[in-house]
Amino acid sequence: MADAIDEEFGQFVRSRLPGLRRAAHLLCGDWTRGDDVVQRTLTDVYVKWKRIRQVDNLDAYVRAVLVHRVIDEQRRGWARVRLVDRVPDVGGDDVRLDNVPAEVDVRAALAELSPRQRAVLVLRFFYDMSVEQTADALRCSPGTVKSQTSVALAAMRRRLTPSLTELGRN
Amino acid sequence: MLDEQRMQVLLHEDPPGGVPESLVDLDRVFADGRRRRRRRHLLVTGGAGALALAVVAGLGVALPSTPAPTVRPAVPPARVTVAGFDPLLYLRIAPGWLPDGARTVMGPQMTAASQSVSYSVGDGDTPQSTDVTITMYAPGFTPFFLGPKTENQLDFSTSPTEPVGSAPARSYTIETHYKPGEPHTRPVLNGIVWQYEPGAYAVVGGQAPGTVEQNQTIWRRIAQQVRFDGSTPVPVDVTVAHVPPSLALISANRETRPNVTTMLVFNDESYLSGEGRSDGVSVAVVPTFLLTDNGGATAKDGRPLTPPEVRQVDGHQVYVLVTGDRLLVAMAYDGTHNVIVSAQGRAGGSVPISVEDAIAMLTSVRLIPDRADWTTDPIRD
Repeated sequence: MADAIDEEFGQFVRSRLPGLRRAAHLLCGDWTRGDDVVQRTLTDVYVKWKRIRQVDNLDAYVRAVLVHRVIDEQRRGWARVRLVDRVPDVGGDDVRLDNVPAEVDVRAALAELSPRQRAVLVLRFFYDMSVEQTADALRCSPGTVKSQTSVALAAMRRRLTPSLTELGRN
Repeated sequence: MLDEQRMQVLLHEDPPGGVPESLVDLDRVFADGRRRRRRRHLLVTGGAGALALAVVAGLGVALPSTPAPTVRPAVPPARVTVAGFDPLLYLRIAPGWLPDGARTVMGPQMTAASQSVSYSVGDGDTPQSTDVTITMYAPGFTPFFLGPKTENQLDFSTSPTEPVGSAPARSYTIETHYKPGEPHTRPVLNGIVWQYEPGAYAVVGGQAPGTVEQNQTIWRRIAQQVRFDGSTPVPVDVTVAHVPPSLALISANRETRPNVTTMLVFNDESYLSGEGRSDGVSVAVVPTFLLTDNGGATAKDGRPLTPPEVRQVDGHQVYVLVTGDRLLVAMAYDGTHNVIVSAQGRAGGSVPISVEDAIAMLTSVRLIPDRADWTTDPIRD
């Protein structure tokens, strides 16, 4: 029985992992941190798997766990420092592909938003969740989701519209 | 113009550079998840023994927040001193009978108020598995479910049952905790509590297949045969040379699994009988994999959080963070371990130790790599 339940969880993970990683990448801004959050999210889900595997909308539950993981961990902030016993070398910037204009880097624009604004955009426009579903996942009111969406889109618009316009001309 | 439809397209576009290979480790998900389930059982059933189950998540060392014993002892135990270690580091619980196939699932949880040891038959937290915890309280300390229910405590009930030996006993059930929105199931944690000597309680309980009544048969058989006169050393792999005189060692734990945490918890005598206390000072040794790079973290409102101050102390980089009633200092001990001293004041109070004392504690920590050299005397040079 335990093996069957674990196998069921394994199948769930394998089928959802690509999407969860993409969402976590958008939320965190880099793949390593994103995978770390997904790992923790899946552990959270596995701990309760026996009880939650039959819920009506399991995917929505897992997405909610994911975004709360990201928000909680980023809120802690200072808890995410790698300790070193010497002054660390300064790392190089991420390598950008030449054919991708830096100005249209949606991930860089997302990084300028607050974690909750990022979560709202990812849930609504990556996962195509409704305002009500997003509010449920974030445990806030639909009005808050609407206002956060509006503010976040405005910020993204300011950041991205010039380059999108430029791309359109080209 | 960036509208909602355009936003959808942008978020679904392949990222520049493609998608790298996944670092998600499903085997570790299973292993960590099973360990957390067992911890949760112990947290619920272990009473004050759960003091040492504080979660270490990165630098965010959570100080213990536990169901505190409900009765203040008339005389604080003399062992609640920096120099006293029994029963902190000697396991007195000696089971006489356990179900076939029972194995220890984690190291004993040792505090000055109680000690617990947990066993499992099966894979843990499945309908077929039996998970049982034996807890022994120091005289004068009482399991939380024998006292009045307080806010934020789990729901519980008790009822008289047949004595254990000649000692009066009660059976109990504990409503396990679920977050809003999660499916709810019947209470599964139950057990038996009795006095192994006047004024000193013991608890056997957990979960097992079958009904609560059937479970009670198992708990009773364990209870009838367990002894509390053992003296098995439970050494730790850490020493701390500097401890401010106001602090006593109240909990010392090391899990038996590899790559897990050793934690020493300090406070004053009043802590052990305090209701819902989460203040104190902890010294934790954590594997470095628990810490990851700073990702440009921001607070809820989007403002950058205060980064830790970095000080040079005896050639080491010491990270210092003071936020409100919390203080945290940390340093890399070696390539595989970090050491963290975390302090939290009582509600509305100040941090119980100074930054200087915390750093002195931190830099006085020594790890003992060879298991043969682990110690039951961790407060020393």
